[in-house]
Order: sequence, then structure tokens, then C-alpha cells
Amino acid sequence: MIMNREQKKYKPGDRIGKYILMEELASGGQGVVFLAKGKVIRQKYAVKIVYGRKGDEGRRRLRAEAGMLSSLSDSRIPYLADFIETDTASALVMEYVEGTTLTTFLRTHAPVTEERALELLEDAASVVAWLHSRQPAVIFRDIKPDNFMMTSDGELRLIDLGCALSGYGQVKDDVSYGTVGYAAPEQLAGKAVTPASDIYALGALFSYMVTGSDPVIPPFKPAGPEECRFTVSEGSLDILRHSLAPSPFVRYQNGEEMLDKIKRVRSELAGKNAGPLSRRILSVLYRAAIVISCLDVALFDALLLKDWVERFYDYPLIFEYILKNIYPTRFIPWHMGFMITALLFIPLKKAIGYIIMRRERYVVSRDWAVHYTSKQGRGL
Amino acid sequence: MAFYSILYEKGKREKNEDTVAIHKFTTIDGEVIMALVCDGCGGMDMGECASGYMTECIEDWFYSDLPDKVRRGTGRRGMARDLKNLIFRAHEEIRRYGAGLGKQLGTTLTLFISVNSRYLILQSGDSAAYSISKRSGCLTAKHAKGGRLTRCIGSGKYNAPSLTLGKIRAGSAFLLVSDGMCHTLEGRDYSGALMPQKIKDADAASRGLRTLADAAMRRGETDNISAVYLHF
Repeated sequence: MIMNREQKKYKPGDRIGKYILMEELASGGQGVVFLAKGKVIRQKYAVKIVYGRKGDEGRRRLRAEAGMLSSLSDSRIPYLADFIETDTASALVMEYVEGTTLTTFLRTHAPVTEERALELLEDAASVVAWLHSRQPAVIFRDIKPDNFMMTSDGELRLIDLGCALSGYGQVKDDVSYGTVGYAAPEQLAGKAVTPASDIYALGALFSYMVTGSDPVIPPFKPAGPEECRFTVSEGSLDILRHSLAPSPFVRYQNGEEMLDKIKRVRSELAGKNAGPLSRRILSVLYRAAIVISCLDVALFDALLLKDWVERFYDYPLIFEYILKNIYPTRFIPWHMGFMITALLFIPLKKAIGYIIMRRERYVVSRDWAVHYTSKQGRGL
Repeated sequence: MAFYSILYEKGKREKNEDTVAIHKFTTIDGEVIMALVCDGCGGMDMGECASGYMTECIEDWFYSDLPDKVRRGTGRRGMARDLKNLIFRAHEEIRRYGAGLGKQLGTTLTLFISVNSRYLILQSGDSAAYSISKRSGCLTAKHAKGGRLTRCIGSGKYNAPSLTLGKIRAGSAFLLVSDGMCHTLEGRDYSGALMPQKIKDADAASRGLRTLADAAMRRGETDNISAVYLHF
């Protein structure tokens, strides 16, 4: 169906330019987003439509967003496919990112383990760090789970750059962008935004992932290090302290700094879980001894059955070879040792391992840590 | 363990002197859950300091001492003994702090701990714990007479909290409330709003708690209202 000039709103089935709108994905203050297909090449696209007269604020912002998308080229950000303007609307056509929003994932899975939360935070921080490294820096200004899509292989991709600001300093608009709960205090107050404002939002996102407490719910405050002190390691608490600090000067100054810290905390956690080098070497040697012992026992049992086998089959030459080279008298003590290892030490080691594991890894996970109080600070 | 919900309301007071917490960790043997409501005593200053400090002490114990006790198979009475020692030390610390400031601080305590389908409740003051079923029953003694507390942590002479032990059945629910809720509401009000068969998820539980809070305020309650609902 072709859009009529008098008709104000597009709906699924309508055509805009060379794209056919299929279903409405989202609608909000910044316009309506449709899933669309190309008329000729049947590829999927996301089409963001803003209604109004030419020169209206909304349409100018959409044009600016198109300009910003066209200057950014990264696999973690949807590419700009087209920009269409009609008398009544502007449409931004971009790559459709398949997957679910991070909101949907966290609603069902949060709180996640610290390792998983750090993995997701690293994905999110890496794309934000890339934006901050542009010349001039691009500040996203609206980091929240709704603006991350999780693909089928668990990677995060950033969508909706409608609030992004290129070059930072004084906010030129009278409108404050952002989402309450994720927006930094200076952002909500209408003051100058810097890359540190995005860092606050990343900290709020991390807090949601590890506590399950969404900052968009009243009192619109992300859970801080005090609330998380039982759930995460010291390294992660440090990330929270430096990202959720009220003053932007105390926070990480850009995504790159935060990304460095996240990587260090992840490798510390991985190193702690892996255990010291000596224990790992011992573990490898022990496993090799187990394999050799089991093979030795199997071979010895085969030799014991030699006479019985000879009744039905010709005696294989391999057994002669084994008797002569592997089982001469002087090697018997070695074979006895292997057999004792296989029959005695495997169950004994497993029992000791179980006892040690119960002692060291008795607590499998820390799941909830929710605390409501009006008391300030710890202690009296 | 299915889910929980928390209500934390200032009511008509200037500040909320209650502290509410819920914590859970999973071990090789099962789940360990702690929920508590501490109500800073009305009529005393800085009630939120006393209730907050008591909560912090118990939280620290929950993560540092309790896993070892559970691993070694310490019974609930052994855990209760340990907790009573901890509460006594906190009582002395709060009293000392208050004396230094020339003020009287105090807090009630309703503490629920479940370890592998068995629970213990320690109670001091006029907050309460209920088992929610067709006929909701109060599981704790009320330490108040004529509107005055007979047991309180941090103020006056130390009285050990009372202990309740029990078993948890699948599908059962528990409610811990501060006195802001239990002054004006009764067991049948709780079972009406929070019957386990009706409450299927945390959102439904939140709505149930909200209903109870509104009912309490309609009946003239002005105190802080705090509650923790646990559904197994």
C-alpha cells in the first residue's frame, strides 16, 4: 500500500522509499521503529521514523543521527543503509540486529555470576571505548540495557544512537538526554557531559547485572559498592566505586580506562580459579600417571588371558614381543607400582579431592544480597 | 527457594528507622537463606543507627562464619548460640556508643535463617514472623507490654532473644514484619493477601505486601512499615 500524503502515520504493510514495513518493533518519544524488508533485495532493516514538518526538532535530530551513523564504522554498531525524507516524515534505515535486548536477558537471568557480568561489561565497555576514541569523541549519553542487543552467540551490540553527542563540552540543547537511574548526576542536572557520564551508566549497568536491582525502579539509584560487598570481589567493587562516583572527576575518564580495569579484574579472577602453577603441573603429571597405569593394567590382563585365547586363535606375535620387551623380570616392580596407582590411589585421590573441594569451594555461589536502610555508612 | 519480596515504607514518619535485609548463598549441600527485620526503637534517637549496625553485624557473620558451620554440620541450636553471643556483643557496642553520645539507642530484631529445609528464628522486641497458610500463625513471642518493649537490643539490660525452630515444606511461605504492620493487622489479613497458592511470583508478592501496607495505613498506622516475604 502506498503512503497517502494526507495519511499521517505509517503502519505495517506500508512502503517507504524502497522498503516495505513489516512490523512495529518499538515506539517512543524519539519516533517509531519498524522491521522492514528491501523491496528488491529482501534483506531485513530497522527503520526509525520521525513525523513532523521539515525543519522540526525531531527530524533535525534524526538527520544528525544519520550523519553520526554514517561517520561510524564498526561491527558492534548498526550501519546506516539509507535516509529518506518525505513531506511528513523522516526515516532512518539501518542494519537490523537480530537478537534480544539486554533488558530481556537480565529480567530473566539477573543477578548473573560475577564472571559473566564482567564478560558482558567488557563487551559493553569496549564499544563505548571505541566511541570515546573517535575524533571528536562520541558520547552515547543513553547507556542502558534497552540499547544493547545480545546476539545468538552472546555478544553485545549497541543500538539507537539517537542521544549520542559528537564532541563534548557544554550541552547545547535545553533538553537533558538520558534515562533516570542510568544517567550521571551532572547529566540529569543539565550540566556539561563528558565521557565520564557514559562511565556512570556502565557502572549502573554492572550494578544491575550483579545485584538484579534495576536502577530504573524507584528510588532510581544503582546499588553501590556497599550493597554489593558480599556478592563480588574487591576488584569489581573497585570498578563500582570508580564508575558510580558522584563526581565525574573521580570516575574513569573514558571507556578505555574502564576497559583496562575490567580486563585486569577478569584475569585476576581467572588466575585465582585456575590455582597456582605447581598445582596445575602436579595435576597434569597425575593424569598422565593414571592413563599409563590403566593401560598397563589392561595389557597385563590381556597377557593373563593368553592361554585361553590360544585355544581359539593363533597366538598373536605381539604378545611375544610384549613379554620380551615390556614385561621382563627387572621391570616387574614398575608394573606393580602402576597397578597400585591405578587400583588404590585413584579412589584415594578422588576422596581427598572431594574433601578439599568441600573445604575450599563449599559455597558455590552468592545469590542475593539486598539491604534496605536509611543509615549512612558502616559501623556506628 | 522460589522468590522473595520486600516492603520498605516510611509511613507518616520523617525517616525510616527500620533496616531490612535478605541474603542467600548456595553451597554444595543446598541453600542457606537469611532474612531479617530490625526496627529502630520508637521513642529513642538514631534508631536507624542501631538497626543498621545490628544488621551489618549479622550480615558479616552470615558470610564469614556461617558457611563453615553449615559445612561442619553444626545444628541450629549451635548456630543460635553463636548468634546470641554476637547479638550480645552488638548490644554492648550500641549501648556504649549511645552512652558516649548521651542518647539511648535501641532496635528490635526478627531474624530468620533457613539451612537445607530447616529454619531458626531469633526474636527480640515487637516485630514478628508469621507462617503464611490458610490460618496464618505467629511463630514468635511478642516482647512488649502496655506499649513498651520488654526486650530490645542496645538499650537497658540485655535479654537474650527467643528462639523458634521448624521445618520448611515446599510451597510454604513466611512473613517477617515490623510493628508498623503487626499493630493493626492480624494473621487472617496476611493469609488473605499472601496465600502461597495465590502468590505465583515476586510481582504478585509485592502487590500483596503493598495491599497490606495500604490496609495498615487506612487503619491509622503512622509508624514505619517494613516486611519481608519468603516463598519456598
